[in-house]
Amino acid sequence: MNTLGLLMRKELLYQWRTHRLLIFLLLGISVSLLAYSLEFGARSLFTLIKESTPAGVDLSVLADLFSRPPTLVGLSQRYLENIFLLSVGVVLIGGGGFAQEIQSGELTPLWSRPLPRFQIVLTRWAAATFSAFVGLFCSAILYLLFTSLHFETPKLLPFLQVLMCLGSSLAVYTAIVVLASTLSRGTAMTIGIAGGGLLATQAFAFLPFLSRLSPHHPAALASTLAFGLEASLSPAWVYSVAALWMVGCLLLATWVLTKREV
Amino acid sequence: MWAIQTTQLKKRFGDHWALAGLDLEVPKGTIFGLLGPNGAGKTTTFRILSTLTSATEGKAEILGFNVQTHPTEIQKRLGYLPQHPTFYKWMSALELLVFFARASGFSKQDATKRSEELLERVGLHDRKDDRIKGYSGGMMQRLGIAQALIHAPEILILDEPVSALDPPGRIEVFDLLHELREDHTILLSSHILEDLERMCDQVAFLRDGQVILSGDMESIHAKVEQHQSVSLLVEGTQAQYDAFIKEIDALPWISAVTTHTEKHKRVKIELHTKEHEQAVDMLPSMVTKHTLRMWQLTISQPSLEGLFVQVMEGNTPS
Repeated sequence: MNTLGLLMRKELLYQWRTHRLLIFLLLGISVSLLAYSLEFGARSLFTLIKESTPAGVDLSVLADLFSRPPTLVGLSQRYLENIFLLSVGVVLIGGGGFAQEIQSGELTPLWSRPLPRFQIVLTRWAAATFSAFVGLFCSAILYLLFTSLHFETPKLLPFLQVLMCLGSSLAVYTAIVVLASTLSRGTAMTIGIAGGGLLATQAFAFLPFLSRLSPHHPAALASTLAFGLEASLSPAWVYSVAALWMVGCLLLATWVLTKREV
Repeated sequence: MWAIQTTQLKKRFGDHWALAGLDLEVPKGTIFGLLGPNGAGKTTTFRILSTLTSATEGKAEILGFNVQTHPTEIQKRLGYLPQHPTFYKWMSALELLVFFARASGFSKQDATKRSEELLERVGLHDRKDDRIKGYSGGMMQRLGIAQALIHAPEILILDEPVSALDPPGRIEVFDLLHELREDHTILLSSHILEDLERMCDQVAFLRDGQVILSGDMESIHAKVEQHQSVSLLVEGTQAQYDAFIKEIDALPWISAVTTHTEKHKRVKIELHTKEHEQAVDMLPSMVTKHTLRMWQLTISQPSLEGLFVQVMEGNTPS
């Protein structure tokens, strides 16, 4: 086995043994269950509230929000909104990473071996992304099940395109978290830097020239494709920018780790 | 050729120089001990040699390879045990060792075989499949020694290898190091100087990031012999003690005198001298002259620990 395969196996074992894979799996299930509950349960909840409310109380505001019948568009919208949970999971669960290992000294034996350091960073990112993908995949399966049961089975190709965009988005966020963990001295600091970084990059959307380089384009493209709207940027451009962010973050993470006192 | 050689090695952390021009030469095939108080620069030296941190100035070479320009060559040939070894707690000892062995180029079969052998050697074979999370400090240190040896390195750097071990564990580890000395060069530090004295062929004393005394154990012992301690247990009045101490204080071949009151109003007088034969010849007659009663005359050869204290206090033997 080459070192890349060996490191990848170790990182996947880490995701499994530390229950990160399980947490993402549960998060993925929550994404779709929550979307389904909100879309289908809100109307029933409103009926209950209406029945138990004394006559004369004005419920028109709530009625506007919750009394509409469930729709495919509504379910899709809620599903896409809830994918945010997976992004939060990426930041919170991936937060430990290198910072924690440097602090505890766990990285020292690995760092004193003749292992390519970029491979150590790359496999860490790949395994964390894999866990996030497992969550995304579970959420997608449930979403397909719910839509098939209540509406119609979505067309596979456009749905796969949406999933690809969401996956790219999670992969970029994971790379940003890996970079943040090399810059920090602990889990909390990593979460702070990664969260701050993700918020700061939202500002790209408002800058005249840099808006095309935002790392958040894959998520935006997913929403556009999901509702059959016309995308402002081509998928090729969005994927290229996402790849650039991933590679850039991982190279920078390797450089930072090499310069840092491990 | 030296196994390890550093020339004017310096390392700065902010305004503090952890290493201030360290010159160290470790011959091949020796067990070399590094002594010094906390903060003397031992761990920093080990970390630079293990390619974990870079020097601010100076040069460090291992088997002729420059630490800064050829880290990979060094990593292949060097096994490092950190002062407080910590490993992935979600792995078992066997998984960890197999991983490190395979990372060093062993096949799966060879990696497993070597890992099992080493776990047997360090006394962890019974717990090989347990998660490291449940290991005690001593078990972690044993595992640390096994991981340092896993790729059969030519050079071993062991930072306090026995600090978390009980006496039988220390003996086992030192027996293991004795076996390894035939085909390894070992650089180690320990706060238990008795162990270093027993183990090492050569030692170096570090203070404030510099080597202030180094040499093989024989030459160190020769220096120790020059500073033997002579102790006298005498009985008498205060006036008799004062007159006696005043006289011996004036002797040019005595470097230091200390007194302690013992049981039965007896006083123990300790003298540091290079001329212990002269002391043995002269002191009894001086005691008689001052009408003191002598109960004991002892010449003690200071241990490495005694020398360590002297050196660290700035009394470097010439």
